Amino acid sequence: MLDHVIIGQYVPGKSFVHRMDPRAKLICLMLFVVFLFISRHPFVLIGGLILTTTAFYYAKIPLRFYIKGMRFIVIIILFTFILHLFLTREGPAIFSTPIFTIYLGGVTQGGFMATRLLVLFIMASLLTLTTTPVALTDGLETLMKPLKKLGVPTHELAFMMSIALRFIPTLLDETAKIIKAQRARGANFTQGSLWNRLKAVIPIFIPLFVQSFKRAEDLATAMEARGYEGGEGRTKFRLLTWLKKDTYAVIVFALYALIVLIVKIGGGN
Amino acid sequence: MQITATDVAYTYMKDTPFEKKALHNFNIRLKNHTYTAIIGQTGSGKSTFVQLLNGLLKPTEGEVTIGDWKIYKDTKEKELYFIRKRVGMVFQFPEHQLFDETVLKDVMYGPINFGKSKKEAEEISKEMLTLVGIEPDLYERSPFELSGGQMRRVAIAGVLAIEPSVLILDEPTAGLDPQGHEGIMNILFQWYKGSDERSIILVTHQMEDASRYAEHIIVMDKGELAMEGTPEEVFAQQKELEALGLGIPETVKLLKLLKEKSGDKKINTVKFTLGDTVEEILSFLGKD
Repeated sequence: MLDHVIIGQYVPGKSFVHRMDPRAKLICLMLFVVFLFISRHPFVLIGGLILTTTAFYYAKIPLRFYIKGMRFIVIIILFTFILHLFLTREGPAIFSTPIFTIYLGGVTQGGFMATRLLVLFIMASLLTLTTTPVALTDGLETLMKPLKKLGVPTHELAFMMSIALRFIPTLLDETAKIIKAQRARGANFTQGSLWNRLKAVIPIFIPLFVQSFKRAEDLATAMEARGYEGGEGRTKFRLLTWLKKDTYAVIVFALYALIVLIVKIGGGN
Repeated sequence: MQITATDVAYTYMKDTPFEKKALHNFNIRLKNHTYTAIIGQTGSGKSTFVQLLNGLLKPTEGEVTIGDWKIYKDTKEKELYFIRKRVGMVFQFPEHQLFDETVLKDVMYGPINFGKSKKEAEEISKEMLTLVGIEPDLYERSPFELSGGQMRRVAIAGVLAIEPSVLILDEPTAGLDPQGHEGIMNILFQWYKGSDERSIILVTHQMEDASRYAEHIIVMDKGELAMEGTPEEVFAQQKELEALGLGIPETVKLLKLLKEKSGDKKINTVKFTLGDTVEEILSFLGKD
């Protein structure tokens, strides 16, 4: 049941997006996220849709696999849509009962928000699907470098993140194993009252915590044994290389940002 | 209980880029009250196969029968619950499943899940803890305070307390010292001999264990059945086993070397215990 979690999972490949510099991908994503939400003009959303489809096409991640991992996100998106549907009171009423009335504004607003979220999620997961966790944190670390002057422990932050990302699959594996072991002992997670189901989770979480603490301790010992002492003077084994196509990609996204800004100032909403 | 597998296949993460066929075209029949060992290299499908036997995984093709129960693609979770009551499973590093406040409570978790009253569960749990050699003064301790070997024993007692007819062991002694290993293998063998309704299926990398305890050996390779038979039949085929990346027990290896070097054709190389091996060597030396 944990087979289809795609957050933090990397799908190996050799596509255009896979081979991009992680820094470029991060910059593009940041530009995209900020400027997608800055304006409500339809042009902005259409532009976002075009960019997403293009990126999606170049990433070459099988669609089938993608849809499976999105089930949970779809629930959130539907929820947003329904909220907007009932709570927005703009435009002419198109459907009314004694209890509630649905306005045209609600449908368009809901649809707008839902598409926005969908596009945002696809873009964000494209980043983790096409970038190894190591490359991702390397990219983040270099992008955060200016903050170091302000005393932000950038190396430590990036390192914490890469450890966290690194252990997501391990933890998932381990959870699956413990669930199996407890199911073999008759645990039932799908039947009974809510209270019983909550109680059924205890035999999973306690072993999981115990194992995680042990693992953290082992990892710390192993790092110390190999002389790890933080980011000072540390050189990199993998060097990031910025190619022309990375510049082009950033230019495309920067253009998008510029257009959004023009629309925003010109259109006023 | 009799166990059969008919044309069984299993694919992990079907319909994703990570799709992996772990088992295909697998057929097997195991009689009631047998000690079976499954050997094979890492990734040969051993663990996948044994998980199909108590419904932790459902075959993507074919069917498995355990006594009167059938497990196939669409078997309901409710039925699997009854199967799990009959088929106990000890995973690798079973101490990772411990969670409760006290040793006794942890062992009682299984029987209570399968509908035993508190009193009955306590009784059977104490019996199984005694069987695995855990002293009563440890019953009220936290399982996390125990030593590694003790934790392993408690976890095994937790599975035995379900009173299964078939016990599946996935490398139950991984990471233990030789003494701990010997102790646990003997406890499990004792449990097996305790009633003629009981069967054991042991997944192992150690040829010595397979030869000493099992009556029947299954050799797996790349998700398929490669060889099957008694330990004598299987371990007589050294070349075939080596081609599969497997070895033969040390005792057989020693006697084989002796036979080669001495040229004495009378030496029987298929001996699995130290006692039998020593006797074979003594008779070669002409002493009784």
